[in-house]
Amino acid sequence: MDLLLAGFGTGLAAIVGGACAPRRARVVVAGTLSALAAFLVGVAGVRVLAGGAAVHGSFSGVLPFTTVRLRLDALGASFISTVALVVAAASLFSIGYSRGPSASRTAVALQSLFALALLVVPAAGDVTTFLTSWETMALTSLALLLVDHDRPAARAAALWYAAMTQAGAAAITLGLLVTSGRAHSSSLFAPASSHLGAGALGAVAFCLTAAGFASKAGAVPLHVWLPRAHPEAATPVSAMMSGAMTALGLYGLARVDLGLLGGLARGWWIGLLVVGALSALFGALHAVTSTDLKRLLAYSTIDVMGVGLTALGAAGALHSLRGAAATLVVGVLVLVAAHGAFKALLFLAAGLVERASGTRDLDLLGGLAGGMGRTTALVAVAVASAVGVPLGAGFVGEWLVVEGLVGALGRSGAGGVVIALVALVAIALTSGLTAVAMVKLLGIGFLGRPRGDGARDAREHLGITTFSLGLLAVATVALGTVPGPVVAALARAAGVALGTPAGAPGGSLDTVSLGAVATALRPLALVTGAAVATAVVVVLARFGSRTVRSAIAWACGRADLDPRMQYTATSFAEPLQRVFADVLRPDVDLVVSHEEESREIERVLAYQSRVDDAVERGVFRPLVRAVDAVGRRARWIASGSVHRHLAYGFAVLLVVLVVVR
Amino acid sequence: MSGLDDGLLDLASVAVLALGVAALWRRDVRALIGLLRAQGVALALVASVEALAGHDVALGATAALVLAVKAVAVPWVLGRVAASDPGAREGAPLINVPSSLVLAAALVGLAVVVGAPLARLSSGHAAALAPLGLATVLVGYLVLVTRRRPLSQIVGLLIIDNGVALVTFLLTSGVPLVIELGGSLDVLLVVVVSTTLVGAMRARIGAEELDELEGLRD
Amino acid sequence: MTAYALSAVQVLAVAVGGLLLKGLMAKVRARAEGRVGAPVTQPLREVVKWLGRESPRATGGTLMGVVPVVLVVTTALAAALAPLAGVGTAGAAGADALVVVFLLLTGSLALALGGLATATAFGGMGASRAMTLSALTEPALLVAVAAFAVPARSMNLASLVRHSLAHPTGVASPSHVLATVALLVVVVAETGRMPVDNPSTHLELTMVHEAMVLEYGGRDYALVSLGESMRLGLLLGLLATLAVPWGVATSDSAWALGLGLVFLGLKAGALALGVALVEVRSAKLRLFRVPELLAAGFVLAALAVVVGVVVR
Repeated sequence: MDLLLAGFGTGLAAIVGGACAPRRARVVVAGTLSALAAFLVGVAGVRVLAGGAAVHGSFSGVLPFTTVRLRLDALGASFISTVALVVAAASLFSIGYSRGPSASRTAVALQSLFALALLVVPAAGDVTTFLTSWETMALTSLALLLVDHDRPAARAAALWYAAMTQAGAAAITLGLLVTSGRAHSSSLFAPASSHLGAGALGAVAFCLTAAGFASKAGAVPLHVWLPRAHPEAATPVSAMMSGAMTALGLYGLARVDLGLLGGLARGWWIGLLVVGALSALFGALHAVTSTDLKRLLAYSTIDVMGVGLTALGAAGALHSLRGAAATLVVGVLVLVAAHGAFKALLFLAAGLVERASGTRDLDLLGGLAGGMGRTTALVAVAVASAVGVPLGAGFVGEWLVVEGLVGALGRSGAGGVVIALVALVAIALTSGLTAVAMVKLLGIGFLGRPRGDGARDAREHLGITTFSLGLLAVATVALGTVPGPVVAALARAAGVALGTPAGAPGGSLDTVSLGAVATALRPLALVTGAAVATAVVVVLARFGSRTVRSAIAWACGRADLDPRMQYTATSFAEPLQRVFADVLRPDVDLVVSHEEESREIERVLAYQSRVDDAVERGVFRPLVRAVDAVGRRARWIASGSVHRHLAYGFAVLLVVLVVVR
Repeated sequence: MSGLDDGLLDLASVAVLALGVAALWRRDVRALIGLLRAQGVALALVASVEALAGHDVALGATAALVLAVKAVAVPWVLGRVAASDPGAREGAPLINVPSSLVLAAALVGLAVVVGAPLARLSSGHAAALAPLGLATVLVGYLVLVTRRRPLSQIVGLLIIDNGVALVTFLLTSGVPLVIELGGSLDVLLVVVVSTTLVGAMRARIGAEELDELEGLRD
Repeated sequence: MTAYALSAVQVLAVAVGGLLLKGLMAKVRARAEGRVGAPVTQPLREVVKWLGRESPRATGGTLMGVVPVVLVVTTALAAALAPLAGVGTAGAAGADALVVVFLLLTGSLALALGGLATATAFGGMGASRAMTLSALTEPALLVAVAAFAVPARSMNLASLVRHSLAHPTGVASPSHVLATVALLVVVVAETGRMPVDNPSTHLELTMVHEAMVLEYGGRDYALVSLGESMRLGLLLGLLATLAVPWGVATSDSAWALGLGLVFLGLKAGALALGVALVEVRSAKLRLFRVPELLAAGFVLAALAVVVGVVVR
């Protein structure tokens, strides 16, 4: 507990430091203190995960009217460790990165507050503390979006975000009120055998909380804010939003819906599974077609979180198969940790690229491997983890989820088989599409030749920014190569949500095993094998020719290769865009202008292809228009007349008097 | 029933379903007819395995009848119509092929979940396979709904019929011979009439795809 | 120690056997077209010849040296893990189907990145198409593997093959047959054979796989070519093992392992013969018709899983 409190105290100091320190020292003081806070909290989390008892404490007088209750158990600790890693890296990064509007007094203090709120949420012990920290997290991230309010894109993103996050927070508040009202307790830590999910009220509580939490995790159709807000925020903030804040949506689902609402009808979990599957596919498809670096990353966040939601939904629906459900939940926890590390790395790298080249448009990038070699290498590590290359962190999570689903296939009746099959198919297709998006990110953005001047002149400066990227890369590789102890610890965390950890996956230093199922993951053996095989191949190849000659690309005989002849991000994604045209509904324009002399000779061919968010266009635009129309009609209510407003107050007073009596 | 019979029954019933699904994949009308022929053979195999296992002579005769009508006569009639228009291919179906295949997978899942009570109607191994018949019916409906050419639609109709027949064979070990005879003759009649109609339509208006016929309403 | 020897022998068998299978398939095609064709050992000789030549490297030079090694190493690892000749390979406890699948995927990713690194239009085109197809193949692949895994209740390839050997009638069960066909479609797509891709095309615009590797030469190309044929050999061998596991050695005796190797060669050879005969009779599909084929593979795999519930 002391460690946790020390961490939170340091977090408060970071806010004060950001607000009071002189201009030059501000960023350094706040960044260092925030990173230190995250480190302390992270250590506290790891200690709980490593087998320590859950820590708790309550403090009155911190907030008015209420007592702050903190409680950190294994489930919370699993999330708090991920959040701490992301916050620490992003805070260190901001020391070397923040300048301009994002280095102002307000921005720095707000960023520290956001970081602190992220760290408090998984440690909240009761409904009030949870909601307070959740709302602080939401509001500070909103305010951070508005730091750069001169740009219209940022303002529009903030508007979308404000509406969605407040609606989500309201839904969560209502849902938690219903739950704690039924439980006659405001604790978030009811025994897992509770039947708070039974009956109509249970379903209402589930729908409200699941909608709120899932919208934070970017579930379709409540995702529209995410691909706008994440790219528009300052780079460290978008890393924290994407790597940590979305994960807390899954934390809410695991804590409240899986842990608290026992006895819920299966159908609701299937609903969550379907929503998750759609989100995963939708996010992955848009990640494939996006050409904006940060937007691609934002959509890929929706995709990973969608996989998490799918697996959580399957775990809830297949609750009776203890082993499979536990494997699925552990898989989600690993996925969250892996995603936090690699996505934060990618967002931070995207920020570096944007600053160095002046653009985030993949169609203008390329060839960054030359000027930004180290960044490229670190991005490659993150990409390997994201696509599920064995030894990457993402693979461990994906492996556990798939094993859980296949395990369920062999053990359940027709209904369970169909549920598991749907989840499996969605996850498989998502994983394939993610690979395309990530190859595009690395191959088009960093390899090849520069497509624009900005990319050609981009250079990297080694320093604290590269260091924080390296920190995340090390975490990714460590999780990917030595996942055993982590999985063993996370199995305890999953036990918190599922009640009994029987049949859950376990692990030792070199193995991840699956309880009753006769299979295992042995990454260290793979590392050894890969090292031996590489040595053999290299040695054998040396018996052949050793001459390597630098040459111009052959390219089927063209000597005057132009960078514009390369495939671009748009053309790379074109085949998939065509295959999924019915879902993506791209706007494709081919404008042909002819020579004046003859209609047969084309002068200019312009091809344009744009993929808008179909949900935004089809669902939210009409909704906004309808609300707008209602608002216009209702304008007479607030005419601006003082007398009328006073009369409203008088009328309300009368109504209250009559009703209350 | 012995294990071998069970195994054969499994394979034949699944073949009926798989061939139905394959009809969603192929566009060539003649390939569709080939699939239908194979489906008839598989169906006859289901009936004959049951007949052999139950030493049921009447069922054996039914199996022969199924083979004669569904694997020989009907494909022959359809083949003649197709031969009059060589190279006939299904154009773009109303739902593209990959989507309709994925949809078919979903329908099979649905049939297995919904058809679970069907499997409990009768004890024994054969009854457990009954959901496959239901799945075949649903897949046949999908063919019927999504295809534009009348000939492909007739194929869809016949797949539905085969699915229904599969369910009856599996659940009741076949219906009395007279009823099966009547049913088979009905199917043959429907096929003959509709193919004649297709031929007449083609001769008189030249229109082939059903959507083009909407203009005739006025 | 036998385990390591078995793994090493399997890698060697896949390396040499893959090249021979490639030659065999070319030979079948030549004979079917009325030509004599090159000897079956031709791909092997070519790889040896290219190994001795200098490697010209264009833009993205270092990466073009790394990619072939990654391709060969990942495929070799998969070949060392998988139960091809015997179930007791080194690290058999970790021979999870998903690990093997994703090892192969790693090779494909490396090739695609190499294609993009060359900064030519054809490299990008090949990478784009190959990634598209690999993304669309994944559902069929995973579901087909799951269909094989369900009866054994394990994704571990060794325990899967053991279970299959202990229950020989399972090989004729409908879901096994359906899953085999589905996996065959996947293998055809993953190895870039007809009708998905034409491995012997010389027309760049229709290339999928070859377009990615146009820029490699000399030793680099020898390794790429070796990696590809290893992948062909591994996938055909794995499919043969999963479909008909008979002959795979469960004991450690040298005789059993040798017999397992012979059976592996026979099964994979027969399969390659079959694939080659289908290839001769089929034309390459348009790129945008390939999803139909892959969807058919997927639906077969899904049927295999669902049917497995009914027929239990």
